[in-house]
Amino acid sequence: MKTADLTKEQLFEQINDLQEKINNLEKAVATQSQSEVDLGISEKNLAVILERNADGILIVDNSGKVLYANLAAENLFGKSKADFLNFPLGFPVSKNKLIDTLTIRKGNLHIEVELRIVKVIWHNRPAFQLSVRDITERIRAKEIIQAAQSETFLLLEAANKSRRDLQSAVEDEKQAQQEIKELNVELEQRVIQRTAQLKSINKELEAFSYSVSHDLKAPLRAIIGFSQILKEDYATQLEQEAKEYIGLIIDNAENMGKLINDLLNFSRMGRKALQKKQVDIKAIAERVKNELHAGMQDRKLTIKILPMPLINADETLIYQVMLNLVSNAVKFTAIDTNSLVEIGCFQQNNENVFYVKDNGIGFDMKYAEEIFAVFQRLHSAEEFQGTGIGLAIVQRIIQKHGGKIWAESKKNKGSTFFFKI
Amino acid sequence: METTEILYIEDNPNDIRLTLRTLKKRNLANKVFTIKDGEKALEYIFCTGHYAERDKDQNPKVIILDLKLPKVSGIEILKRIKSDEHTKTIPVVVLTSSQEESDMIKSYNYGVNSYVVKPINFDSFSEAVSSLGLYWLLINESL
Repeated sequence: MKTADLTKEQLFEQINDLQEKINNLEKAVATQSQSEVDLGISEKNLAVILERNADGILIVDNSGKVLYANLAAENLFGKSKADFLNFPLGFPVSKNKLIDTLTIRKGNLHIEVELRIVKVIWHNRPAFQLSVRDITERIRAKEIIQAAQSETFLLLEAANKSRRDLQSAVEDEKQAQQEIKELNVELEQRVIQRTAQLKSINKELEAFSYSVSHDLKAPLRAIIGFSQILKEDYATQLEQEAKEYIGLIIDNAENMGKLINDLLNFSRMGRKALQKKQVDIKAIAERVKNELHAGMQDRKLTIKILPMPLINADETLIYQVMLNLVSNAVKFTAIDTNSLVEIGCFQQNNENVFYVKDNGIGFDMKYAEEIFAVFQRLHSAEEFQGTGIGLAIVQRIIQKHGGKIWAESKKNKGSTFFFKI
Repeated sequence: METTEILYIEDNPNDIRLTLRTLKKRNLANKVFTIKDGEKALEYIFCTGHYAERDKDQNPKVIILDLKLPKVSGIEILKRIKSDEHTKTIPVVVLTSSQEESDMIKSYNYGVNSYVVKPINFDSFSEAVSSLGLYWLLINESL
């Protein structure tokens, strides 16, 4: 735009602008002089701030000579201002690095410091300002934090490991439980199988004993019956010796009958369920005593029955036990001696132990176990009759009640049979 | 044929001989009719088959019954006798070797009048047979 083209208004505007600029310049000059006054004040303030700064502050000239040191610097380096001023700094400072670290030895102490270096104008000359900050605590704190961190890390690791261990333990247990489950199923299967087998064996046994009871006794009855008929109907035609033989046939067949009955009882004992109730064992002993007395009036027999507590058992079976033990006691006493039998009970380890004691011929203790076996006899049938099953039945009854039976004896000094239920 | 007073159902020839001898001693033998298998026994009792001609109104006064028989078991015969209006009043005595409880219980459940286990000993056997024969004959006559 050319001046010649300017309108009057435009010129006025320019003059106004210029006037405003002049005003502003005047204002600025006024402010400047005020600033110079302010500066004097603030320089004093700055010196105080510098001196009191928490960081050590050193001003060094280009040659490394110390121009200024504040209070914190004196404390930090353990030197007075006089020790600093106009002396070289005493450690290298890299002018290229703005931040540096340094270890200061102060007596035995090692102080870690951080140096910040800035270029400054000091009394109109270029110089370097070194801010020195004690970072010993910071480093120590950092170390502590690092140690804590690594410890935390280790702890986390350990926690992780335990978690993994726990997981695998849980998995192991799961697997073990699974295995247990499978084993249980298998076991149940086997129990079912075994039970079925046992049931069928039991059925066979029942059929067997049924047939024994029915078929084995029939011929015996015939033998005995016809022998008896011979004896009765042909008595006049038979010689004495023939009659004796017939008598022997009858005796033997009858013995075999008893044997079959005992065996049947023995096998039935295993199959029959117990019918337990309160049983007065003393009353049972009295019953046995009366029966034996009635059957053996020719024998000198004393049966002494002591007080006994009630027991929870199958009455019929306990009667059989008592009958067997007492008849045995009487049987194994020589005919001509006075047979003494004592029936009683005593306490042992808080359990009732019942006993049947005699003054009979006794037995050798080396057979103490064997006398309870089926068909086990310690004497010939000629000496003492019997089928050899009595004590086996007694033992089975006691065992079925969950009890125990045992015997003590000395040859010719009597025997005692003990049992607990 | 003389009236049967005792129907004896038994398959064991030895037992038959022993029983008959005992009954003979008691003068009861001529009143006994013996049948040796279960099927024929049923025919006799219910007048069928071999015994279709038998007079239905002439029931035996007592039946002595063994349990183990050919073809039809003694228990089955007992059950049939006791469940028929015409025959259920005939006294039935089971005379058997079986001491099995289950046989005894079954027999009593079906209404047996006596259950006698054949004793091995001959004297006891004779005693049992003659007393049960006489007992039930007398009981029946008094009815």
